[in-house]
Amino acid sequence: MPPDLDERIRRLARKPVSVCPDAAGRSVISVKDIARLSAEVGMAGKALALRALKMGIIPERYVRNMDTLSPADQVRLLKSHAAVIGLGGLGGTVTEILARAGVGTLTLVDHDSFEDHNLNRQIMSSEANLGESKADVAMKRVQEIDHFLDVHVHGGYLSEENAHVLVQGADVIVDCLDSIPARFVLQRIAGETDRPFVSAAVAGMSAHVMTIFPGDPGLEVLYGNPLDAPEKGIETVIGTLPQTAIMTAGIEGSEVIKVLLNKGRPIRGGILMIDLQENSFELMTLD
Amino acid sequence: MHVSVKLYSILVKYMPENAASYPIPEGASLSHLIRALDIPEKIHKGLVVFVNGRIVKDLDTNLADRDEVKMFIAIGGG
Repeated sequence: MPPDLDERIRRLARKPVSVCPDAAGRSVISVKDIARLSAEVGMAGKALALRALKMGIIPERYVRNMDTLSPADQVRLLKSHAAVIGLGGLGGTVTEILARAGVGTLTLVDHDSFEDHNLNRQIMSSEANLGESKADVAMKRVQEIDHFLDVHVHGGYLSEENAHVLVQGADVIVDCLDSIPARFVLQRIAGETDRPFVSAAVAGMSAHVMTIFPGDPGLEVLYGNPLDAPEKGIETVIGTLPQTAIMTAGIEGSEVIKVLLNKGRPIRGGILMIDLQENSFELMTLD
Repeated sequence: MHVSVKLYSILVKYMPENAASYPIPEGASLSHLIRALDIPEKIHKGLVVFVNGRIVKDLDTNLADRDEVKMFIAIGGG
Protein backbone atom coordinates (compact mmCIF):
# COMPACT_ATOMS: atom_id res chain seq x y z
CA MET A 1 0.00 0.00 0.00
CA PRO A 2 1.57 3.34 -1.00
CA PRO A 3 2.33 5.48 2.07
CA ASP A 4 0.32 8.42 0.72
CA LEU A 5 -2.69 6.30 -0.30
CA ASP A 6 -5.13 7.73 2.25
CA GLU A 7 -4.17 11.25 1.25
CA ARG A 8 -4.71 10.44 -2.43
CA ILE A 9 -8.13 8.93 -1.69
CA ARG A 10 -9.01 12.00 0.38
CA ARG A 11 -8.01 14.32 -2.47
CA LEU A 12 -10.33 12.46 -4.87
CA ALA A 13 -13.26 12.52 -2.44
CA ARG A 14 -15.97 15.10 -2.89
CA LYS A 15 -19.46 15.89 -1.66
CA PRO A 16 -22.21 14.13 -3.59
CA VAL A 17 -23.57 16.52 -6.20
CA SER A 18 -27.20 15.60 -6.48
CA VAL A 19 -28.93 12.90 -4.51
CA CYS A 20 -28.73 12.06 -0.84
CA PRO A 21 -28.49 15.51 0.70
CA ASP A 22 -28.92 13.65 3.98
CA ALA A 23 -25.98 11.29 3.55
CA ALA A 24 -24.71 12.47 6.92
CA GLY A 25 -22.20 14.82 5.35
CA ARG A 26 -20.23 11.96 3.90
CA SER A 27 -17.86 12.35 1.01
CA VAL A 28 -17.96 10.09 -1.99
CA ILE A 29 -15.49 8.79 -4.53
CA SER A 30 -16.48 8.00 -8.11
CA VAL A 31 -16.05 4.79 -10.10
CA LYS A 32 -13.73 6.59 -12.52
CA ASP A 33 -11.52 7.98 -9.76
CA ILE A 34 -11.17 4.57 -8.11
CA ALA A 35 -10.29 3.02 -11.49
CA ARG A 36 -7.69 5.74 -12.18
CA LEU A 37 -6.15 5.36 -8.73
CA SER A 38 -6.15 1.58 -9.11
CA ALA A 39 -4.10 1.90 -12.32
CA GLU A 40 -1.77 4.47 -10.74
CA VAL A 41 -0.95 2.62 -7.53
CA GLY A 42 -1.35 -0.96 -8.81
CA MET A 43 -3.99 -1.91 -6.24
CA ALA A 44 -7.25 -3.70 -6.95
CA GLY A 45 -10.29 -1.46 -7.17
CA LYS A 46 -12.06 -3.51 -4.50
CA ALA A 47 -9.19 -2.95 -2.07
CA LEU A 48 -9.36 0.79 -2.75
CA ALA A 49 -13.14 0.82 -2.26
CA LEU A 50 -12.65 -0.97 1.07
CA ARG A 51 -9.95 1.50 2.11
CA ALA A 52 -12.18 4.45 1.22
CA LEU A 53 -15.11 2.98 3.18
CA LYS A 54 -12.89 2.53 6.22
CA MET A 55 -11.98 6.22 5.94
CA GLY A 56 -15.69 7.10 5.86
CA ILE A 57 -15.60 7.93 2.14
CA ILE A 58 -18.36 6.13 0.26
CA PRO A 59 -17.72 4.77 -3.23
CA GLU A 60 -20.47 6.70 -5.00
CA ARG A 61 -21.84 3.54 -6.61
CA TYR A 62 -23.00 2.52 -3.11
CA VAL A 63 -24.30 5.87 -1.93
CA ARG A 64 -27.92 4.88 -2.48
CA ASN A 65 -27.39 1.80 -0.32
CA MET A 66 -26.82 4.24 2.59
CA ASP A 67 -28.14 4.39 5.28
CA THR A 68 -30.19 1.24 4.98
CA LEU A 69 -26.73 -0.28 4.76
CA SER A 70 -24.04 1.35 6.88
CA PRO A 71 -20.47 1.80 5.63
CA ALA A 72 -19.55 -1.15 7.89
CA ASP A 73 -22.27 -3.25 6.21
CA GLN A 74 -20.90 -2.27 2.84
CA VAL A 75 -17.42 -3.37 3.92
CA ARG A 76 -18.85 -6.67 5.10
CA LEU A 77 -20.64 -7.24 1.77
CA LEU A 78 -17.50 -6.44 -0.19
CA LYS A 79 -15.62 -9.01 1.86
CA SER A 80 -18.37 -11.61 1.37
CA HIS A 81 -18.64 -14.45 -1.09
CA ALA A 82 -21.91 -15.86 -2.44
CA ALA A 83 -22.19 -18.93 -4.66
CA VAL A 84 -25.19 -18.69 -7.01
CA ILE A 85 -26.01 -22.08 -8.49
CA GLY A 86 -28.31 -21.91 -11.51
CA LEU A 87 -28.30 -18.78 -13.66
CA GLY A 88 -31.77 -18.88 -15.17
CA GLY A 89 -34.92 -17.02 -14.15
CA LEU A 90 -33.91 -16.79 -10.51
CA GLY A 91 -30.11 -16.92 -10.64
CA GLY A 92 -29.67 -14.26 -13.32
CA THR A 93 -31.59 -11.68 -11.31
CA VAL A 94 -30.08 -12.80 -7.99
CA THR A 95 -26.62 -12.31 -9.54
CA GLU A 96 -27.58 -8.86 -10.79
CA ILE A 97 -28.83 -7.89 -7.31
CA LEU A 98 -25.77 -9.20 -5.47
CA ALA A 99 -23.38 -7.52 -7.90
CA ARG A 100 -25.16 -4.18 -7.61
CA ALA A 101 -25.41 -4.45 -3.83
CA GLY A 102 -21.64 -4.95 -3.71
CA VAL A 103 -21.10 -8.58 -2.72
CA GLY A 104 -17.35 -8.76 -3.31
CA THR A 105 -16.95 -12.30 -4.61
CA LEU A 106 -19.43 -14.26 -6.68
CA THR A 107 -19.24 -17.86 -7.81
CA LEU A 108 -21.68 -18.44 -10.66
CA VAL A 109 -22.55 -21.91 -11.91
CA ASP A 110 -24.72 -23.11 -14.80
CA HIS A 111 -24.09 -25.75 -17.44
CA ASP A 112 -26.66 -24.37 -19.86
CA SER A 113 -26.73 -21.93 -22.76
CA PHE A 114 -29.43 -19.38 -23.50
CA GLU A 115 -32.31 -20.57 -25.65
CA ASP A 116 -35.38 -18.85 -27.08
CA HIS A 117 -37.66 -20.12 -24.30
CA ASN A 118 -35.51 -18.32 -21.67
CA LEU A 119 -36.28 -14.88 -23.11
CA ASN A 120 -39.60 -14.46 -21.29
CA ARG A 121 -38.01 -14.24 -17.84
CA GLN A 122 -34.23 -14.69 -17.71
CA ILE A 123 -32.91 -11.19 -17.30
CA MET A 124 -29.47 -11.95 -18.72
CA SER A 125 -30.80 -13.49 -21.92
CA SER A 126 -31.22 -11.47 -25.08
CA GLU A 127 -31.68 -12.19 -28.77
CA ALA A 128 -28.00 -11.35 -29.23
CA ASN A 129 -26.68 -13.95 -26.78
CA LEU A 130 -28.84 -16.95 -27.70
CA GLY A 131 -26.60 -20.01 -27.75
CA GLU A 132 -24.02 -18.47 -25.40
CA SER A 133 -23.10 -20.02 -22.07
CA LYS A 134 -25.18 -18.61 -19.20
CA ALA A 135 -22.12 -18.64 -16.95
CA ASP A 136 -20.04 -16.64 -19.47
CA VAL A 137 -22.85 -14.13 -20.03
CA ALA A 138 -23.32 -13.73 -16.26
CA MET A 139 -19.61 -13.09 -15.78
CA LYS A 140 -19.63 -10.47 -18.51
CA ARG A 141 -22.72 -8.85 -17.01
CA VAL A 142 -21.19 -8.64 -13.52
CA GLN A 143 -18.00 -7.14 -14.94
CA GLU A 144 -20.06 -4.56 -16.82
CA ILE A 145 -21.81 -3.61 -13.58
CA ASP A 146 -18.72 -3.65 -11.36
CA HIS A 147 -15.35 -4.70 -12.73
CA PHE A 148 -13.85 -4.54 -9.22
CA LEU A 149 -15.76 -7.62 -8.08
CA ASP A 150 -14.15 -11.05 -8.09
CA VAL A 151 -16.14 -13.49 -10.20
CA HIS A 152 -15.59 -17.22 -10.64
CA VAL A 153 -17.70 -19.10 -13.14
CA HIS A 154 -18.25 -22.74 -13.92
CA GLY A 155 -20.07 -23.60 -17.12
CA GLY A 156 -20.52 -27.29 -16.32
CA TYR A 157 -22.95 -29.34 -14.27
CA LEU A 158 -23.05 -29.30 -10.50
CA SER A 159 -22.52 -32.88 -9.34
CA GLU A 160 -21.88 -34.84 -6.16
CA GLU A 161 -18.23 -34.92 -7.21
CA ASN A 162 -17.61 -31.23 -7.91
CA ALA A 163 -20.13 -29.45 -5.65
CA HIS A 164 -17.76 -29.15 -2.68
CA VAL A 165 -15.06 -27.56 -4.83
CA LEU A 166 -17.46 -25.24 -6.68
CA VAL A 167 -18.85 -23.67 -3.52
CA GLN A 168 -15.52 -23.55 -1.70
CA GLY A 169 -15.01 -20.34 0.22
CA ALA A 170 -18.61 -19.15 -0.18
CA ASP A 171 -20.27 -17.65 2.90
CA VAL A 172 -23.72 -18.51 1.57
CA ILE A 173 -25.01 -20.93 -1.06
CA VAL A 174 -27.90 -19.76 -3.22
CA ASP A 175 -30.11 -22.37 -4.81
CA CYS A 176 -31.55 -21.13 -8.11
CA LEU A 177 -31.64 -24.57 -9.72
CA ASP A 178 -34.44 -26.14 -11.71
CA SER A 179 -33.70 -29.75 -10.77
CA ILE A 180 -35.11 -31.01 -7.47
CA PRO A 181 -32.45 -33.77 -7.00
CA ALA A 182 -29.67 -31.20 -7.65
CA ARG A 183 -31.27 -28.90 -5.05
CA PHE A 184 -30.94 -31.72 -2.51
CA VAL A 185 -27.25 -32.21 -3.42
CA LEU A 186 -26.62 -28.53 -2.81
CA GLN A 187 -28.56 -28.51 0.47
CA ARG A 188 -26.53 -31.49 1.71
CA ILE A 189 -23.23 -29.78 0.83
CA ALA A 190 -24.38 -26.62 2.62
CA GLY A 191 -25.26 -28.66 5.72
CA GLU A 192 -22.01 -30.63 5.66
CA THR A 193 -19.95 -27.47 5.36
CA ASP A 194 -22.00 -25.57 7.94
CA ARG A 195 -23.15 -22.83 5.61
CA PRO A 196 -26.50 -21.09 5.18
CA PHE A 197 -28.52 -22.07 2.16
CA VAL A 198 -31.09 -19.82 0.47
CA SER A 199 -33.51 -21.67 -1.78
CA ALA A 200 -36.34 -20.53 -4.03
CA ALA A 201 -38.53 -22.08 -6.71
CA VAL A 202 -41.03 -20.68 -9.19
CA ALA A 203 -43.86 -21.92 -11.39
CA GLY A 204 -46.58 -19.96 -13.16
CA MET A 205 -47.52 -17.16 -10.76
CA SER A 206 -46.47 -19.01 -7.61
CA ALA A 207 -43.22 -19.37 -5.76
CA HIS A 208 -41.65 -20.35 -2.49
CA VAL A 209 -38.55 -19.12 -0.70
CA MET A 210 -36.77 -20.47 2.35
CA THR A 211 -33.50 -19.80 4.17
CA ILE A 212 -32.06 -22.91 5.72
CA PHE A 213 -29.30 -22.97 8.29
CA PRO A 214 -27.54 -26.24 9.13
CA GLY A 215 -29.87 -28.37 11.26
CA ASP A 216 -33.01 -26.49 10.20
CA PRO A 217 -35.90 -28.27 8.48
CA GLY A 218 -35.13 -28.11 4.77
CA LEU A 219 -36.27 -29.06 1.31
CA GLU A 220 -37.58 -32.46 2.41
CA VAL A 221 -40.62 -30.74 3.93
CA LEU A 222 -41.51 -29.60 0.43
CA TYR A 223 -40.36 -32.40 -1.81
CA GLY A 224 -40.42 -35.40 0.54
CA ASN A 225 -37.69 -38.02 0.67
CA PRO A 226 -34.73 -36.94 -1.52
CA LEU A 227 -34.35 -40.51 -2.84
CA ASP A 228 -37.86 -40.42 -4.14
CA ALA A 229 -38.13 -36.79 -5.24
CA PRO A 230 -39.30 -35.99 -8.77
CA GLU A 231 -36.88 -34.28 -11.19
CA LYS A 232 -39.26 -31.33 -11.77
CA GLY A 233 -42.46 -29.85 -10.38
CA ILE A 234 -45.56 -28.32 -11.97
CA GLU A 235 -43.48 -25.70 -13.78
CA THR A 236 -43.24 -28.20 -16.64
CA VAL A 237 -47.00 -27.77 -17.08
CA ILE A 238 -47.66 -24.14 -16.14
CA GLY A 239 -44.36 -22.51 -17.14
CA THR A 240 -43.04 -19.47 -15.27
CA LEU A 241 -44.01 -15.87 -15.85
CA PRO A 242 -41.40 -13.10 -15.80
CA GLN A 243 -42.92 -11.20 -12.89
CA THR A 244 -42.85 -14.32 -10.73
CA ALA A 245 -39.21 -15.10 -11.49
CA ILE A 246 -37.94 -11.56 -11.06
CA MET A 247 -39.93 -10.81 -7.90
CA THR A 248 -38.93 -14.10 -6.29
CA ALA A 249 -35.28 -13.51 -7.19
CA GLY A 250 -35.64 -10.14 -5.45
CA ILE A 251 -36.75 -11.86 -2.27
CA GLU A 252 -34.02 -14.49 -2.61
CA GLY A 253 -31.38 -11.78 -3.11
CA SER A 254 -32.72 -9.96 -0.07
CA GLU A 255 -32.38 -13.14 2.00
CA VAL A 256 -28.77 -13.56 0.87
CA ILE A 257 -27.90 -9.99 1.85
CA LYS A 258 -29.59 -10.33 5.25
CA VAL A 259 -27.72 -13.58 5.90
CA LEU A 260 -24.37 -12.06 4.87
CA LEU A 261 -24.95 -9.03 7.09
CA ASN A 262 -26.62 -10.95 9.91
CA LYS A 263 -29.30 -8.27 9.75
CA GLY A 264 -33.08 -8.41 9.75
CA ARG A 265 -35.16 -11.56 10.01
CA PRO A 266 -34.52 -14.23 7.39
CA ILE A 267 -37.24 -16.72 6.39
CA ARG A 268 -35.85 -19.27 8.82
CA GLY A 269 -37.81 -22.16 10.31
CA GLY A 270 -40.47 -21.22 7.84
CA ILE A 271 -41.31 -20.87 4.20
CA LEU A 272 -42.68 -17.93 2.30
CA MET A 273 -45.40 -19.19 -0.03
CA ILE A 274 -46.32 -16.73 -2.78
CA ASP A 275 -49.24 -16.71 -5.17
CA LEU A 276 -49.34 -13.58 -7.32
CA GLN A 277 -52.69 -14.60 -8.80
CA GLU A 278 -54.20 -14.09 -5.34
CA ASN A 279 -51.67 -11.45 -4.16
CA SER A 280 -50.94 -13.84 -1.36
CA PHE A 281 -47.68 -13.85 0.61
CA GLU A 282 -47.93 -16.35 3.43
CA LEU A 283 -45.10 -16.97 5.87
CA MET A 284 -45.73 -20.49 7.12
CA THR A 285 -44.05 -22.34 9.97
CA LEU A 286 -42.07 -25.55 9.51
CA ASP A 287 -41.43 -27.78 12.50
CA MET B 1 -67.73 -29.47 12.08
CA HIS B 2 -66.39 -26.78 9.74
CA VAL B 3 -62.92 -25.81 8.56
CA SER B 4 -61.72 -22.95 6.41
CA VAL B 5 -59.97 -23.94 3.21
CA LYS B 6 -57.65 -21.88 1.07
CA LEU B 7 -56.00 -23.31 -2.02
CA TYR B 8 -53.25 -21.73 -4.09
CA SER B 9 -51.66 -21.93 -7.53
CA ILE B 10 -53.06 -24.74 -9.67
CA LEU B 11 -55.20 -25.89 -6.74
CA VAL B 12 -57.42 -22.79 -6.95
CA LYS B 13 -59.80 -24.60 -9.28
CA TYR B 14 -60.67 -27.03 -6.47
CA MET B 15 -61.75 -24.24 -4.09
CA PRO B 16 -65.31 -24.91 -2.92
CA GLU B 17 -67.84 -22.07 -2.83
CA ASN B 18 -68.23 -22.47 0.92
CA ALA B 19 -64.45 -22.47 1.51
CA ALA B 20 -64.65 -20.10 4.48
CA SER B 21 -66.70 -22.63 6.42
CA TYR B 22 -66.47 -25.98 4.75
CA PRO B 23 -68.39 -28.83 6.40
CA ILE B 24 -66.59 -32.10 7.12
CA PRO B 25 -67.54 -34.98 9.47
CA GLU B 26 -66.45 -34.70 13.11
CA GLY B 27 -62.77 -35.67 13.48
CA ALA B 28 -62.25 -36.12 9.71
CA SER B 29 -58.66 -36.33 8.49
CA LEU B 30 -56.81 -34.12 6.04
CA SER B 31 -56.93 -36.87 3.45
CA HIS B 32 -60.72 -36.97 3.83
CA LEU B 33 -60.81 -33.23 3.13
CA ILE B 34 -58.47 -33.57 0.14
CA ARG B 35 -60.69 -36.28 -1.36
CA ALA B 36 -63.83 -34.26 -0.64
CA LEU B 37 -62.32 -31.34 -2.57
CA ASP B 38 -61.76 -33.64 -5.57
CA ILE B 39 -58.04 -32.91 -5.70
CA PRO B 40 -56.73 -35.62 -8.06
CA GLU B 41 -54.79 -38.48 -6.51
CA LYS B 42 -51.80 -37.94 -8.82
CA ILE B 43 -50.97 -34.58 -7.25
CA HIS B 44 -51.48 -35.59 -3.60
CA LYS B 45 -47.76 -36.32 -3.27
CA GLY B 46 -46.85 -32.75 -4.20
CA LEU B 47 -49.25 -31.12 -1.74
CA VAL B 48 -47.78 -28.88 0.93
CA VAL B 49 -50.42 -28.51 3.63
CA PHE B 50 -50.51 -26.10 6.54
CA VAL B 51 -53.05 -26.27 9.36
CA ASN B 52 -53.30 -23.11 11.44
CA GLY B 53 -50.05 -21.88 9.88
CA ARG B 54 -47.97 -24.98 10.67
CA ILE B 55 -46.89 -27.59 8.18
CA VAL B 56 -48.56 -31.01 8.43
CA LYS B 57 -46.86 -33.84 6.55
CA ASP B 58 -49.10 -36.69 7.69
CA LEU B 59 -52.32 -36.51 5.70
CA ASP B 60 -53.96 -38.89 8.18
CA THR B 61 -53.87 -36.09 10.77
CA ASN B 62 -57.32 -35.38 12.12
CA LEU B 63 -58.75 -31.91 11.79
CA ALA B 64 -60.60 -29.97 14.47
CA ASP B 65 -63.54 -27.60 14.21
CA ARG B 66 -62.52 -24.15 12.87
CA ASP B 67 -59.09 -25.32 11.70
CA GLU B 68 -57.63 -23.15 8.96
CA VAL B 69 -56.28 -25.34 6.16
CA LYS B 70 -54.05 -23.92 3.42
CA MET B 71 -52.76 -26.04 0.59
CA PHE B 72 -49.97 -25.30 -1.83
CA ILE B 73 -48.18 -27.47 -4.31
CA ALA B 74 -44.42 -27.95 -4.32
CA ILE B 75 -42.73 -26.41 -7.34
CA GLY B 76 -39.21 -26.72 -8.62
CA GLY B 77 -38.57 -24.14 -11.36
CA GLY B 78 -35.53 -21.91 -11.25
